[in-house]
Amino acid sequence: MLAECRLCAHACGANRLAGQTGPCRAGAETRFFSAQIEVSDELELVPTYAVALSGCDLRCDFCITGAPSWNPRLGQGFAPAEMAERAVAALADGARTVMILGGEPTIHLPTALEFVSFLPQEARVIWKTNAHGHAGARELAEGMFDVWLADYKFGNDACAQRLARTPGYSAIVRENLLWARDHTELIVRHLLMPGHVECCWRRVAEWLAANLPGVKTSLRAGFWPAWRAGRHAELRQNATIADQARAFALARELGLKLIS
Amino acid sequence: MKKRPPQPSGNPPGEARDSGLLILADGRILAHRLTRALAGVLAELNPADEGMARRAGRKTVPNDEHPNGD
Repeated sequence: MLAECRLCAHACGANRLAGQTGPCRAGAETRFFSAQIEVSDELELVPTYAVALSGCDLRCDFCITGAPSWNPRLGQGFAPAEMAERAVAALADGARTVMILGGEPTIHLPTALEFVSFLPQEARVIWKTNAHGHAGARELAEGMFDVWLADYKFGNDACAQRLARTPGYSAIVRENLLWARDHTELIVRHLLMPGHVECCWRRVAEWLAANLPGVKTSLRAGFWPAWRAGRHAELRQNATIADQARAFALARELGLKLIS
Repeated sequence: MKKRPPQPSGNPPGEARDSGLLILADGRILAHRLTRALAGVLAELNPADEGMARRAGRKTVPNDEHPNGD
């Protein structure tokens, strides 16, 4: 898989085993920058043992984790069996789920699958993804994760290109979300960006209402101007209370199934 | 304030754990990589926030509060 990498939708074909890199800059090694029990995700998933892998295929200027998400060489080497032992200990200590996230874990899918193979069958495993994976990657992952917690970040390709340098974003994410609906439990998450209620959230919400009716939707209103958000005037602030109110009102108007 | 037992973290002893907090001028507090221990602190600051109480492991009743975070 890594000899001609097409795990994410960039499908760059880099030979990561030979030291080539594509847009994610990842080589053959998987590293992680955080592994701990957390409670900030959706209530039905927490406490979760969240394992964050370094590196990502997107370049969101407002990335909350910043450097380790952009740089796959940061963090510690990831040993699947050892991490699985830690996850099992966390489950015994009160975690309800195990969450694999990033960065973007899709770029490390082979390692992630190996990690899951070491977990007990009854462990509830969450795949926290940007939904920008290649079709081949999601098929490899079929049946391996109990829940897809998938971001739908941008409501249009222009915002995706400007804020995350990602071309053709909408079609890829929509295809993955429709696939996930048919193959696993799905929660769609949208981070409300200041100044993007109409161009992004409204379009996301309308598409969800029309194409994924009843899907669990997590509207996250706690944007903060992290990493390189300051490059964009509208992202130098938090979402206003008025923006938040408008966004939740829109969700209710469209009949979205909001979860918190 | 009642004293609570330490919460499990899933981390080996001595390994760093971290969360992020952003306190806004209007009093709102945003949290990232929230641990249960920190949720307990935030729940103390705002006892009316049932969502935070649930995250801290103190309530099990569903609610409509929307948490902050990424």
